[in-house]
Amino acid sequence: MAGTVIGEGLSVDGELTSDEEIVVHGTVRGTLSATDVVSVGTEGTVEANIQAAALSVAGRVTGNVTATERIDIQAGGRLIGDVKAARLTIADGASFKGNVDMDA
Amino acid sequence: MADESVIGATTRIRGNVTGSGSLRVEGTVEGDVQVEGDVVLTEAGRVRGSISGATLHIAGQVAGDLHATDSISVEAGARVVGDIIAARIGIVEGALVRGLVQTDGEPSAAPRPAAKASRSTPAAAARPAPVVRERPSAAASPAARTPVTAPPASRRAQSLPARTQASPATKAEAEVKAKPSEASEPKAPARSRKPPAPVVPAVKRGAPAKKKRRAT
Repeated sequence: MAGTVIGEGLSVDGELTSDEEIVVHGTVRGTLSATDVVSVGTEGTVEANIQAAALSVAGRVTGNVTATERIDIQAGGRLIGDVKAARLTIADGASFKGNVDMDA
Repeated sequence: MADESVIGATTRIRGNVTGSGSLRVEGTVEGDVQVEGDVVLTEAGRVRGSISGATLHIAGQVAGDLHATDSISVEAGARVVGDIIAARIGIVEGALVRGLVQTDGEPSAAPRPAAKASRSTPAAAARPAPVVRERPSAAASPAARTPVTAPPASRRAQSLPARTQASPATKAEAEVKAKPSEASEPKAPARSRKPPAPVVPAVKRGAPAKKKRRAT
């Protein structure tokens, strides 16, 4: 069970920091910083730089993302921004525009 | 399931949270919370800003106003520094509230048992009449109240914080009703006081009646 869930109709404007799992089905604008896994659902929209342990994108993310472990962009997901992670997967059907830095 | 949002215990949001659906805050929000659904603030939850929703259940700490279209219930252990405005408000004994508490509209049927409980207290038992008299005026416009218990709803409610901590009454409306009975207490000694005894000049026994001398 995820610690923090941003539901579909919810919109967070500002900084979001957490030490637990975050699932975004709504909108986050600002910055998102977590020490655990961040998942962006298919309806989720994140217009922020993301810092997480691991990140899974199935929705729209606009911003630079940095993960200490891995970043996965699922099919149907869109990521516009730079990626910095040790491991990266971009699924067939995903959309990605930005730089990749895997130099961990 | 997408309608129920949770802000976890270790999560901190510095900014506003708006939207539809319901929300449970177990962490910290430094900003306003404005949702269309219900808001539950758990005991560990902290909100530094106003909260606005349909129904609010507050068990944590709030430094800001609470607005609800339906009802607000402030649980024991909660601390609210700010105004509480809703159609129905419940404040449980042990909650700390500092601010304006305002309900709108007519009192509903639910508070009646609480009014009977206040009637059984010694203060109210001796005079049921003022309690009955004050209640319709409490429901009607505050301006129509008699000068003796004049204070309008907002000023009277501002003295509520002191009473919430001391008084055993559980509902804010019961406290509002109990206060008129206390305010009318100073009138009671005046009513039972007997008219002062007539002063009669002392007349000794057997003494003839003194005749007044008339100046000629």
